Amino acid sequence: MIIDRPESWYIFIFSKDCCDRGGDPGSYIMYKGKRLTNKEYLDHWGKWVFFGEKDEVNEMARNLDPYVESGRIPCVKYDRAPQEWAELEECVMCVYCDDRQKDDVLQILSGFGVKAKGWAYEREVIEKWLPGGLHMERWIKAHGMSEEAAETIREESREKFQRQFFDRPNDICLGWEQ
Amino acid sequence: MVVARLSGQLRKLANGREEVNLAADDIAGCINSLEQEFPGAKERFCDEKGELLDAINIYINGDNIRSLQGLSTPLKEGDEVDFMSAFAAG
Repeated sequence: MIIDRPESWYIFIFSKDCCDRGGDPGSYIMYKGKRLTNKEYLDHWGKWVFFGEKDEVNEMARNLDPYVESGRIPCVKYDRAPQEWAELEECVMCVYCDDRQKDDVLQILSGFGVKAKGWAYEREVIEKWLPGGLHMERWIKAHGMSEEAAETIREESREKFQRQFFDRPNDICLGWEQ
Repeated sequence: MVVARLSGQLRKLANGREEVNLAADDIAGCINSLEQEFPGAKERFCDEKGELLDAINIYINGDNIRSLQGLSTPLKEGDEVDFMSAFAAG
C-alpha cells in the first residue's frame, strides 16, 4: 500500500495490515514473524539502496507494492524528488529488511532490473545523524543554521537516539520517525 | 575483469556511462583504473592522502567496503563494484 503524505519528503510502502496497526509504529520491523528488539534492530536491520529518476522509482514502487503486501518485503521508502541538501540529482529508493533475508529481497529487486545496489545498516544511518555525523552536519550547513540552533539540533538528535535505542536494548523496536 | 558501476550524478565522471568493465585486483586498483580512463575520477572518491572520502560509499556485490578491508579489499573475477553518494543511504 503506497502511502503518499504530502507533508513528508518520503513516500512509503507498507502492507495494509501494517497500516491498520497505525498506532503501533515499527510493527513492520520483524523477522520470520517476530518483532525485533532495539538491539536486534541495530544488529540486523538495514536496506538495499539504489537510485532512479522520479518516474523510475514510481514504477518500481508499483512493482514492489504486492511484495510488501505479501510480507516478502517489510517496507519501502523513496524520495518524492531528489534531495537538494544532499546534492543528489536522482531519487533514492530504500528497500528495508533484516539482513538474514536480504538475499531474498535482492533477488526480487534484480527481477525488476535493479543492478546498482548497496546494503546499508540502520545503525550506520543513525551514526550519520548523530552530532558530527555526515548527514547531520551537511543538513545543518545546507539549512544555514546559527551555531546555537545547530547545537540544539545536535543535542536533540543525540538524546532521541540514546533514549529510543541505546538505553533500551531489549525493548521492542518502534523504529524512528523520518 | 570486474564491473564498476556509477550511480546518480557520479555517472558524469564516466561521460554518462553507468557501467565500466575494468581489470583490478583491489578497490584501490579499481579507482586507479577509473582515473586512467576518466581523468578526475579519483578526486571524487579519495582525499589528497588517498583515503576514501566520507561522502562516498563503495560496495562490492552490495557490501560496503568500510566493513571489509577498505580500499585494500581484494576483487575477484566478475565482482560488481558500486560507487554511490554516501548521502543516498540516509
